[in-house]
Amino acid sequence: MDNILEVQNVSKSFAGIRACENATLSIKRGSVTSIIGPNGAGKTSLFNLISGAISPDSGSINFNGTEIAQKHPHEIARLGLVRTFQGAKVIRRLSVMENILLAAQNNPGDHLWRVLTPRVRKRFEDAAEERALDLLKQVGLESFVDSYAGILSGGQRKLLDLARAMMAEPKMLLLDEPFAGVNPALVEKLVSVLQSLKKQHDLTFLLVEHDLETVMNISDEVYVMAQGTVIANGLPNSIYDNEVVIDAYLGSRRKSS
Amino acid sequence: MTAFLQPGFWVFVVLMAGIYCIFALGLQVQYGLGGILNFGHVATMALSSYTMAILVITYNWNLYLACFVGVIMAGLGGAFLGLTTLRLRGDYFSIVSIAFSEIIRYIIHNSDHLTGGSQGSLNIPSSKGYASYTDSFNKVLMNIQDKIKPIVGSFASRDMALLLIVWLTAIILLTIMSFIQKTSWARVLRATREDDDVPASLGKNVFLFRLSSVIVGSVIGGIAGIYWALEFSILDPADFQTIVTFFAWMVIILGGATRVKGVPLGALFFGFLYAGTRFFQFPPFTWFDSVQRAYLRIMIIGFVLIFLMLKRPQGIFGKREEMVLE
Repeated sequence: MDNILEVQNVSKSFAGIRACENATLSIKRGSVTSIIGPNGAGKTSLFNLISGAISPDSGSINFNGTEIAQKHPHEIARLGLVRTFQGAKVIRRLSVMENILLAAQNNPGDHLWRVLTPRVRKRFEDAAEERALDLLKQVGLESFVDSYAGILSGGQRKLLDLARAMMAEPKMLLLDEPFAGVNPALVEKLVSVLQSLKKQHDLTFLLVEHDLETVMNISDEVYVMAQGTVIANGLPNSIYDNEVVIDAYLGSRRKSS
Repeated sequence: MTAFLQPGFWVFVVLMAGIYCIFALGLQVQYGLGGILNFGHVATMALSSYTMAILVITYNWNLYLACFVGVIMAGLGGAFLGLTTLRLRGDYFSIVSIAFSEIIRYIIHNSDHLTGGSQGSLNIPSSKGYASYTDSFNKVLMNIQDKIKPIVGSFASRDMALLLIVWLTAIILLTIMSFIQKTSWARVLRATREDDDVPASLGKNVFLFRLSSVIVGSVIGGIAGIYWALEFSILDPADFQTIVTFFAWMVIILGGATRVKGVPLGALFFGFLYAGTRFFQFPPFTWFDSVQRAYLRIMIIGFVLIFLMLKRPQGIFGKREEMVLE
């Protein structure tokens, strides 16, 4: 398997505080990789660096053969590297369907002059709506199509967020704490949705997560971050036994058990 | 009370409502869709009307070509404002936009040899010896006036002729804008009024969407400026004070900012409110002199707005559900 994402020696500091220091990751195509680490370890900063929300002070980020370290978020998204946000951001005053349609790529209607070619627009919108409806069915939100996204519950917003990210036809998905604040039954559902999506679309996942049990179950590889840098990586099982990781993140509770 | 009963006065009121309708429509594209708080919208009127007047008076351009260039100029003004300041967060943009419109007004005020300065368009340098830009257009209006005389009788006037043109333009623009509201362009803009990160993470260049909405709004504002200039036949820098921008804000707040069809209704409502309050010639209003009453008028509009915000914050046509979602 080749690597779809290569992060090399990426550093970023904010006003003297190091958010990320020489972070290096290699993500294999078609894998599920998780980043774990204590709060403030720089996981979300790393996500923001990869997705272009902030640009690194030094280091390189290569996605699918393209250097993306200095690119804007929308350019990176167009390359097929799509992210979700901590706590699932939905556009509350758009309907669920509109939220998903937002993600349709290369929509001719995004260009203002296309107001003159209603047929081209409609053809695209119809096809997009069909695909959106499919995705909504997969995540079980089909009954909310025309509701404002603002009325959805926290868990439903996570599902919508995921479906919307899928609508953007990603090659790789960055999920920021997809299971945080979600009840166990919904975690199971999210995991099964993720796995079926992965199978269907040949996706690569990179996630930041605190729910260790789930992380260990679904991940092919785990990276551990602390104080802005990667302190360990490997198969899920090897992480459990790693002394450095136990000290930095898992805590002595794990050591004794 | 005499003016109250004259049809000519009410024709003027509806005509001005039409101009405000077009003007406010330019703001609706920016605020209603993109949530952009542009407080310098009046600059687009100043740019288009003065550009047109200077081209016609000083350079003897064809009026219609000059109008076209004037509108383009308004669009360029919007592009300049957007390119320089749209990357700022919403409220900072608002502050800069006020400054922008004031800068434009002061430039006009102080460029005597080009714009006529404080004496207005009458002082624009002209080879003909007199400064007028409406000569050729007046003939067109006279023509229309003659044609509608059999239909509307005593209502036929220069204002009536212009009223028809203005409202026809307004209807065309409203139709175009309501089509535009159905495109995915508008959908992305409606997303950006809530959040920048989500559309950007889905491959949308948020800045470009905002910029294009400001340019479209400025072009529409420029069209309103042309009609303003044609109606009054003279221009004065004092016509383009910031308060005019807020009249447009009143229009879209009254009508409901998120719906295109709210704009003409808001404009008519505002027009009648603004003109109608002229006729408060009974106590307690007669306790004040006419100058004080002119300010009272604006205060009363303010009270109506506050009342509306309390009772119907979404405007006449807005959707209330949209406002309460968290």
